[in-house]
Amino acid sequence: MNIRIIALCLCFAASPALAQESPKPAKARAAERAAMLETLQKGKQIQGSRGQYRLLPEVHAVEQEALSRIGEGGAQVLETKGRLVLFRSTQQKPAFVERVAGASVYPTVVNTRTGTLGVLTGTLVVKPKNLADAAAIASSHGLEKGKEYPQLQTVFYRAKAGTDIADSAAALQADARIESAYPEIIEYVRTPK
Amino acid sequence: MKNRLAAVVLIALAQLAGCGGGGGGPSAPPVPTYTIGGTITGLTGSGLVLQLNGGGNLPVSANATAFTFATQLASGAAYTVSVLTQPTNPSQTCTVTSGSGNVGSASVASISVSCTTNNFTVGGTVSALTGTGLVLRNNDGNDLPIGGNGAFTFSTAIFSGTAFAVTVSTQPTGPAQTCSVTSGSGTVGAANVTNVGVSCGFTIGSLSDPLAVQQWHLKNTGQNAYADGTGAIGIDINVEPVFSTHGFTGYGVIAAVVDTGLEIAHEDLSANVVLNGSWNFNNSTTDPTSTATNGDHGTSVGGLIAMARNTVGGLGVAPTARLKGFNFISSNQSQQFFLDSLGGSTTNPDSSDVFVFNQSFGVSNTEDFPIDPLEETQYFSGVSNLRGGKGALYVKAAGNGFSGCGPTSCENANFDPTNTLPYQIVVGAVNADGIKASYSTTGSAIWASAPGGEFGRNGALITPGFPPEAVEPAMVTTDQSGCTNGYSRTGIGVNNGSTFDNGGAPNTSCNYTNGMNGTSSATPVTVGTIALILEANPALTWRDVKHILASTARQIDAGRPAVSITLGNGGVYIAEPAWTTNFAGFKFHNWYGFGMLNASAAVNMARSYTAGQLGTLADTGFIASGALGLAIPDNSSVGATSTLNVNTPGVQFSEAVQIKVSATHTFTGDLGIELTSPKGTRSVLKNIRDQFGGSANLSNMVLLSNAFYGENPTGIWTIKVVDGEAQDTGTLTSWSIRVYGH
Repeated sequence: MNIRIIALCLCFAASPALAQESPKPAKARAAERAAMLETLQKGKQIQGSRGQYRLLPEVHAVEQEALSRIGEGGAQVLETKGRLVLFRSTQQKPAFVERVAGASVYPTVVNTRTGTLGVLTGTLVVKPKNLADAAAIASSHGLEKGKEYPQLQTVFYRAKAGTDIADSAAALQADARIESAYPEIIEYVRTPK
Repeated sequence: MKNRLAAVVLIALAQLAGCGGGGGGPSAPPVPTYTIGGTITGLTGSGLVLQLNGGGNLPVSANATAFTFATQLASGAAYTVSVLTQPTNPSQTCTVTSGSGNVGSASVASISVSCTTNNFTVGGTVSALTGTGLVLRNNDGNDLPIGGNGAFTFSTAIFSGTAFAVTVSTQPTGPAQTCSVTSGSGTVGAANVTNVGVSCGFTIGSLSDPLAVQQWHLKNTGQNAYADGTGAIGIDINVEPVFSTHGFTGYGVIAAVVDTGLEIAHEDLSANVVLNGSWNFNNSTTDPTSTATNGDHGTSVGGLIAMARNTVGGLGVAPTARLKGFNFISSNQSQQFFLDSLGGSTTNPDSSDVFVFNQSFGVSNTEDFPIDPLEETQYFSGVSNLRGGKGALYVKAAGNGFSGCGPTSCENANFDPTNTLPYQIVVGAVNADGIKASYSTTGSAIWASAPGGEFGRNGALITPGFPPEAVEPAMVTTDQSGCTNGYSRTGIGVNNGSTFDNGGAPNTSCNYTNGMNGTSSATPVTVGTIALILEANPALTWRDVKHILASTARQIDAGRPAVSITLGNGGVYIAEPAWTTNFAGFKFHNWYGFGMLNASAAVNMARSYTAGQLGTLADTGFIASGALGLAIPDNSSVGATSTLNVNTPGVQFSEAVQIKVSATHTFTGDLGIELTSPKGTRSVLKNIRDQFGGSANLSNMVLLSNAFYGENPTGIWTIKVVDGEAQDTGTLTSWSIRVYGH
């Protein structure tokens, strides 16, 4: 329904001439965005489920209502992803989730192929070769074991406070007991359609 | 012998004496004759006719106790009394005793006619009964438990001429139904009563739900749905016969609303909400009621599926289906919540008992990205394992991104990677005139279309200059309760664009909206329809249901011409084909899939459908081209073409065709991608001049087409990639094809 209203507004705003216009203006917008991305510092490489990512040490994400509370009210907001806003901070941070003023502040990444930004949630999605190893994997990697999905042969883990998500993901990916592992990245947000 | 001889002599003498011994004497005395008659007992009916010796018909009045024929017979004459016509009103059977003999020397009065009143059975036919426990009663005494639809007969026969009165003694439950009797009373005549009708179904017009008559998607009578415009009569999902003839209401089916929330205490939803079956991912409770103040999308979606049959609001397509709400969309959308919402979890929440998942959501993207493998695995698990292995149904909105790119869709249903899975039923939206809704995203991944409506506004309440669709009917459904929040609400300065949504009558409680629309609306209409199908035949597999929907969908907008665009080389490119009939006889259009849902036809097909007849789902695996490097002519209809041979004996009937395309291009929005089957069917899987943009190449982009459904895929498939706009250029670097089917 939100979409309904937005769509209606768009319909009203767009003249027939605009509707017929070539979408090439999107190219200019894409170039502008690419230029902006160029200005962002890139950190560690991270292998995600949808490809390669680079950490963005100066871009963080927080729930919209907490932006001011964490002292970033004046920060440049790059985009929103659902309830989260991605903002450019003056502080560079490693890849772990931290609590600031009662809010979780998340690290972010950029998809190296598409330039899409994503949020590292601190969750690691692991497919052990044997689910019986799930607890041992948690122990040896300093992770909190979360919910198991036996039908998917998948276990969710939570990085403990101060644990670098990129490093944890890399370590898990190198673990012989594990078939696949990657950090959860909120990249594409679903909206009502 | 001696006596006989003496009698003859005496008679002869008597005759001679009578004649005076010769002519001229006095005439002989007349031969005496005698009457024939008798007594009647028990005659209450009229119309009894007695006969004497096959003639001399004697009508006998009702209640007569004696009779005498007018005809008299002489002594010695034979007589036979019989019944020519039995009495009626009441119907009686009269029998004659001592009815034959020879007349003696006196009138015959010893014949006895005895009449008894006939009795007859009372019965009729029950229809649209889906519940159990129905008991019919006749004349306050003869109860008859009814086990199912069809003929019934009360055990106690009724005397002709007496009254019968058939009533419902006990209404059915599970589901609760209100059965009504027609031709249930009267007087028993001269035959069994067989025409008592007991219908447990209902019509839209008979409902006490006050908004139901404005729900054009259920029955389009040309109503305005509280907007200014009206639709076309008959443009609906043809669900009324399902209610009235079969009585199916989605009973026993659980549908999950995977959305922003679900107001589980809503007056028109609560009866159907699974107790403690929903989940709020934001606070780990079983109440996903939204805290938003400006409307809850999921609550409106839920109403279209299963608003209850009662005395408030409207009616869901499946008004007894049960609902679970998972507020995934308003959560942080973690993968865990995704799995939990879509069948992957048995506790907190339990989504594993869901029959149909409503996914009125999607992504908006301007570049391709692959589906997350875990999400794909969950969908596969859902269709493989849920519903006792028959598979859950996943229904997905195509999107609302048509507008802004000219005559073809800006957004393509194939842009959301989850739409490119064969496990989905992707749905487009139709307005009340039977045309694609103005916003509805198109594409070859669409399976079917369903009512989604336009915008439902009142022109006097919105900004002048609005497009015509603004005031065309939207969908009437549930909204957050009360006038302080929701799509319909009141307050200083609040104007939601329609009288109805501003709290006007009959929506003074603001519990409903007339502005819901989108493929978000088409999706729950489809979910409700599937619930009806599954009630009709619970044994159906998920693929059976897809097959039934495709086989029974209704072609709409049949005259819609193809969209042809002249490109820079002067060639005319068919950017969007018209309706195409494939080699297997299925009609397909990128705007509508196989057409608009026809609930009645689908349920009828489901009732006689042998479940599982599609066999095991197989696929060819991706058959790859290898590296190509084919230049795509710029702004030219010529395109770059490549072929692949499919020859997999296990797949002789296509159910879905995926291709995976890689191409370099400096502006992928220019590219159109089409596929032609060995049988010559052409499908456009990506439009030229769409909303794709930016510098990202296509990297193994998966696209799906349903246009080849039913065709034998064996043979040469041809891909053609066209650049539909000047300036940017690129190459087709590789592609592959995978056919799902059996």
